[in-house]
Amino acid sequence: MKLKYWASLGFASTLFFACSKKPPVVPPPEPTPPKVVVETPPAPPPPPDTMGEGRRRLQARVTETFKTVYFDYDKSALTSEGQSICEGIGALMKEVPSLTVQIQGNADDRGTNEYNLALGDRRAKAVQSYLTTYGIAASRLSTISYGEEKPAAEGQDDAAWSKNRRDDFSPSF
Amino acid sequence: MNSIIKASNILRLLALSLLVMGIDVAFAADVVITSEQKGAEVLSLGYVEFQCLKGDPKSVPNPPGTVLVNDLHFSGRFRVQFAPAFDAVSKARFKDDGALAYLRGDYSLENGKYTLNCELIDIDSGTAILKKSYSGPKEQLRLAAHQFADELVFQLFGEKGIAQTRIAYVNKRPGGKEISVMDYDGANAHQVTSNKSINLTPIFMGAKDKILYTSYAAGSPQFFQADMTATTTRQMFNSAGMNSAANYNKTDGEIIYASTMDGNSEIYRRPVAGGKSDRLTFFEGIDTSPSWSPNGYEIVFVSDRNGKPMLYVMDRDGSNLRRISFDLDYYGSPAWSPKGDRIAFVALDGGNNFNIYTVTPDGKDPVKLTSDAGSNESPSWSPDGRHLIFMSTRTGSPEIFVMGADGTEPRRLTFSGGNSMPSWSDY
Repeated sequence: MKLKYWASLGFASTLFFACSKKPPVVPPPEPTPPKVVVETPPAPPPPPDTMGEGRRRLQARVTETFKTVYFDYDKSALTSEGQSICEGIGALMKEVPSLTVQIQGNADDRGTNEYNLALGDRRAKAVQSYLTTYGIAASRLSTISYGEEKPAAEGQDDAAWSKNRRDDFSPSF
Repeated sequence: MNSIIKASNILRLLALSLLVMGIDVAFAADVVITSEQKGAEVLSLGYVEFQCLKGDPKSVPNPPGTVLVNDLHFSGRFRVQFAPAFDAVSKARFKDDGALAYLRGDYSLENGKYTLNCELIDIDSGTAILKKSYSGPKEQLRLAAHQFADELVFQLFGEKGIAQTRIAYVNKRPGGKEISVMDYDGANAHQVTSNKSINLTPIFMGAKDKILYTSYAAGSPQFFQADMTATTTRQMFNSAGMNSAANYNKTDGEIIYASTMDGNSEIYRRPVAGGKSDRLTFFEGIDTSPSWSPNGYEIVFVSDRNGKPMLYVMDRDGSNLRRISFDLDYYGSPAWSPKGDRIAFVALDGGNNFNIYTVTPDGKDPVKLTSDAGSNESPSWSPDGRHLIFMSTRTGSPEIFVMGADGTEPRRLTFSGGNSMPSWSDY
């Protein structure tokens, strides 16, 4: 994919120099070649096509499937909603063997920082354990806990807390 | 530097101060006075404004006399009476307050250097009981004032002072949480890490210039060590899983910490000099926040093995486990006092705000030190056990506060917002 990107860039710059050779009749102005390149790129370089159509479709499915899993206060057990999200993740990971994921556990800020680090770890591992039981190899599932250090929402109310007791997913394929 | 100490004068001063103190104690019949309680042994001293003999006194942030008097007040051991000069009027005032001696001093600022002379003078005889001179680069004038404050505490109370101690803490910055340090009075704050990652739970390791902290800089939480004299940081050791909440004991040079290296958050012990980590807990629940007893024999920690986060004490090898907390909903962040007689911790008593308490190591005699003042977390003892530093949200944003070990005289040290997890250095 990278090769393709550079190739298209190379093509673009060839085009540019081809064009800039066109008006040599005019008396030579101050030579400012590099700046011109920056200021008036001949054409926006085509978005790097790092994804084929199949990949793009998979990306959409991954985004849709790896939804944030939320937890109850001081709990690391999956709710029924959490379980159904995990089931979808398990199914997709079975279907796409190249799919791996980092599960990121988080806590709201109502406990001590140290305890919440451990609680976030348990939440990440609850999903990991669900998925290994589902039949996904442990090697495809890494975990990390951010405790209460990476809140999704700021605030001291139920609305913020419930958004912060969560597992985020960082999938790659 | 020279030092003149007249032992007989100090003994006289001490004997009289003990007499005064004895009367105080006798009147305070309803109050149980512990050795940590501020106000229990307060010595009155006169203070005559320190004179600047050469240079511009405005070229230093705080005059040394101000720093010194601040230290003396903060120590909780002195009551200071001010006077512009020593004359018949001020002499009478000093003596009315029960002072037997007064402080006087002078300083000079020249060519980027300072000299500072401090004296403790016997009010009646006019002789110097204690005399000290300091010199050095101008930036260290403040430190010299701290040194003299500690000298006074040591000479008059026979114990080390804390005026030269430091505080490590976490400061929220754009892009992450960084480790910072400041003097114990909030001065000289500066940032130690700048990796824009998450850096947590700093502690001092033995020396005041070595800090151990947990950092996400390498991905998963690992222990890093900052050497402030060399301004370098390095990973201390690598361990699987998540590693946090380290606590250091200088007696054996060992840390205890929480790690998920075996899958679950457990407590481990490890020599700082190197070697292997010994696992101390073996339960499915969360085990974290370990704190050494000062002699290194025992460890207090948090576990939710019985359903809620509670405090437990075990021997250094993990044996002899016993639960020491029962009544409240959620216990955390225990910190064993340097004298070994109390354990500070936070707990929830209904509501979502933590308060700070102390108990004896067997869980008896709970004393609540904060209330109705935001959430109060992460208590850490001064090395003399007379103060606690902690994080409080009482002013809105998390800031570092300090208070007496009995909860009196809370005082704010930071003002920038987003400051947490303070940890007090050794002497």
